[in-house]
Amino acid sequence: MNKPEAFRLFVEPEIPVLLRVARSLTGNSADAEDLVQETLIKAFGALNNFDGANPRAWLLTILRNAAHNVWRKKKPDYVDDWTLLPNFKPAFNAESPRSAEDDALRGVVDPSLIKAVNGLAAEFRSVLILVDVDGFSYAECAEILGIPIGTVMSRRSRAVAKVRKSLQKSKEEAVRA
Amino acid sequence: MKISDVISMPECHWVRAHLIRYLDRDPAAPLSPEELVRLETHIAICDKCASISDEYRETSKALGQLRAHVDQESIARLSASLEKLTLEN
Repeated sequence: MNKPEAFRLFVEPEIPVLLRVARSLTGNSADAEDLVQETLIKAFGALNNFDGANPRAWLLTILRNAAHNVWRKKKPDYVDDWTLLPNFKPAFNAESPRSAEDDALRGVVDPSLIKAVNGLAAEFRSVLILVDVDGFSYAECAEILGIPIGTVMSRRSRAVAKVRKSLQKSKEEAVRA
Repeated sequence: MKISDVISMPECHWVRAHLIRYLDRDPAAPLSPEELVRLETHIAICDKCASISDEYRETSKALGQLRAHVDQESIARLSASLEKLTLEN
């Protein structure tokens, strides 16, 4: 098997994961696709540096760097935020397209949970979304965000505790109302 | 507050600090067998910590429902693009 063939074999199964993370970083599907496209090109160009050990971690690092180096230059108004959650309010009152899936989620997810997550500081929210929503491991989350695993653990722990408190407060308010 | 509650407070604090690692069971941050026994023993006798553990578990499960839909057409376009990239080189 030649190198391009091996590259395709390793990379193709990771495309859905890359798209999920890219959508988290960019806030919409079209920009996410551009970011993944950019990542694939950069990864192919850097193929000689890849040791074959962990394609996902390698690709996520390239994606993170591409998002920081290229994407933000194109979008100076980009806010470091996570926009997957229903009821997300886009910056500057911009309209964001709602999918059928978004509408379905609105029906099944407790609005107080969305409120609690959106109320978290960005650094806590990002860890919570990557681990709980997207199902990434601590190591993958650390790779995506470029932070140590210990920081992932402490942020996640604090994020869950804050969400729990917020949910508790919402319940108490509902009882009083 | 009962005296028994006050006595168990330091243990509650320790358990809550380790609860997420216990629930996640992530390979990067495993609890030692001794820590597992300590935590599970406490949860078995402390209603408050057991309740917090349940709430954390439910919150995590609910958050999992928010997983973003990945557009199959995007995947197909990127796969085609990947094929083109590798065939041209």
